[in-house]
Amino acid sequence: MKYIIAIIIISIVLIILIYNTMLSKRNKLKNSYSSLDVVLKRRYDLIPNIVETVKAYSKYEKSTLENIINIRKSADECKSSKDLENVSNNYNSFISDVIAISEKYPELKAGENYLNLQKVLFDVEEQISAARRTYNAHVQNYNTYISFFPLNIFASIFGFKKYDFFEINENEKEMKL
Amino acid sequence: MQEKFEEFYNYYQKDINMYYNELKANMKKYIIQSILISLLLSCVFVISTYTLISYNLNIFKLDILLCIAFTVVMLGTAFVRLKNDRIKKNEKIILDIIKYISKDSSAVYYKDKMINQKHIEEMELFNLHNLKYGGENYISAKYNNNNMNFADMDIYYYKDKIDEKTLYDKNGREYIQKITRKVKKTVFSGCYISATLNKKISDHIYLIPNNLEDLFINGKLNDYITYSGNLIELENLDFSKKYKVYSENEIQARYILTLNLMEKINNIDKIFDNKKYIVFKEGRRFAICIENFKIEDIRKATLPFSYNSKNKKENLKYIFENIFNLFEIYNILDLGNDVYIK
Repeated sequence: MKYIIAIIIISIVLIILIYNTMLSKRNKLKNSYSSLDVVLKRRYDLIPNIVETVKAYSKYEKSTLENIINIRKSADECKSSKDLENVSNNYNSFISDVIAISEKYPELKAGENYLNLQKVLFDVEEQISAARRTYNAHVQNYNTYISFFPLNIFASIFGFKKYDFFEINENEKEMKL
Repeated sequence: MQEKFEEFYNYYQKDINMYYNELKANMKKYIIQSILISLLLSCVFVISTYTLISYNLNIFKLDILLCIAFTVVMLGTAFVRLKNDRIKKNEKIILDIIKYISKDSSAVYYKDKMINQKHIEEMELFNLHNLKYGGENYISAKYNNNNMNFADMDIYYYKDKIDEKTLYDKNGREYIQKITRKVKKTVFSGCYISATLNKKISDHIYLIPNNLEDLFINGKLNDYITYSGNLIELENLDFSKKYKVYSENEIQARYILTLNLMEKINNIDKIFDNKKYIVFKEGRRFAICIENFKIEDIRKATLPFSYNSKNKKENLKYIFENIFNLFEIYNILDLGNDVYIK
């Protein structure tokens, strides 16, 4: 009887430990997601500055301008890393437009405003990259932990699900002003 | 590097000729001085001996013997003076090379100066409350607008060591005498390099050699090395084999240690294959401590006595190469890339 009670107590302690570790790993992951979200929003906050810098060289149609402004709005409504990826793709197509405009107008590319913007954007991109790497490292750590047997059984009982990595498409790596 | 050295060698030919002319003149001066002083001393010694003791001595023979003895001693002294002269001249060569590489005419090199202790304390890498700090060979130069400082640095402490000696008293009984003596233990001995980083941060990031714990008894490490923060595992395997990264802010650590920079830090091994400590400090400060590399070794690597010696170019190349490598850290880490445009 004593042994059975001891086994039950040890099992309960183990389950509590496993649950707490899973929770702590998931919280770290969520924190890093919030940080990623913050720097991504900082990136979208720069959109009005970019539009301001290039608007003298290219008149945006009303619909295009609305789409650009919507990037910022949709960034606020993101709930998962997949949503963030979609917003990021829209942003990339906008930046592709800006690059195309700057290639056409060398005076824009050499202008002080554009150069300053370039510096700020590069720095923000570096911060995003750091936040993304941190988030993905936590995702990997958490996903690996909850995949181990028998931890995967506890994970499904307690409702711990796998998270997606925040991927960056190959074009985005080159997408710098 | 070879190309740069050849360029410098051609540029510096005039100075090398001057170096050897001065060395030759000094050598002549010291030899003549030695012989004259020896002759004078031997004469004075013989005359005074003869006058005072009035022995029946062969003055001429004694004088020659004494003169030879004094000359040997004086030439030995002259040789030491000449060696010191060469080391002094080497300091000038080092400074000239620094100025040539950095293109900074206001660059300085002081043999007896060390990096300010306050600066070392601010980097918070070595625990100077428990350790002693010494240094020399301070170099400061502006390289492509980046203030770079180099200096030899020794971090050490004294430990009591008790020696036991078995002795016997008057009655022949054995007893043990304990003698306590201070033993110097070195924590770090090498070169300290500081420069300005091209990114701004608000937290500390420490890169500690991976096998450091093996060198200290458990629990003692933090008495000497004051790194703090959480251990961060980064993506580059080669890098992770060499360093342990500690920081309070994981995102900031990754912001500084990009995949590119980790690769670059790995590349430093191509020129300095020694153990390294790296600190990124609040603001834009950055320091690397390279163990077992000393500017003092460069200072002592003098050019040979003879102008026609084959080693002349080799020795100069050794000095040039080592100083060039110190500045090369700037290029390897791309510290001038302030605009972040690739």
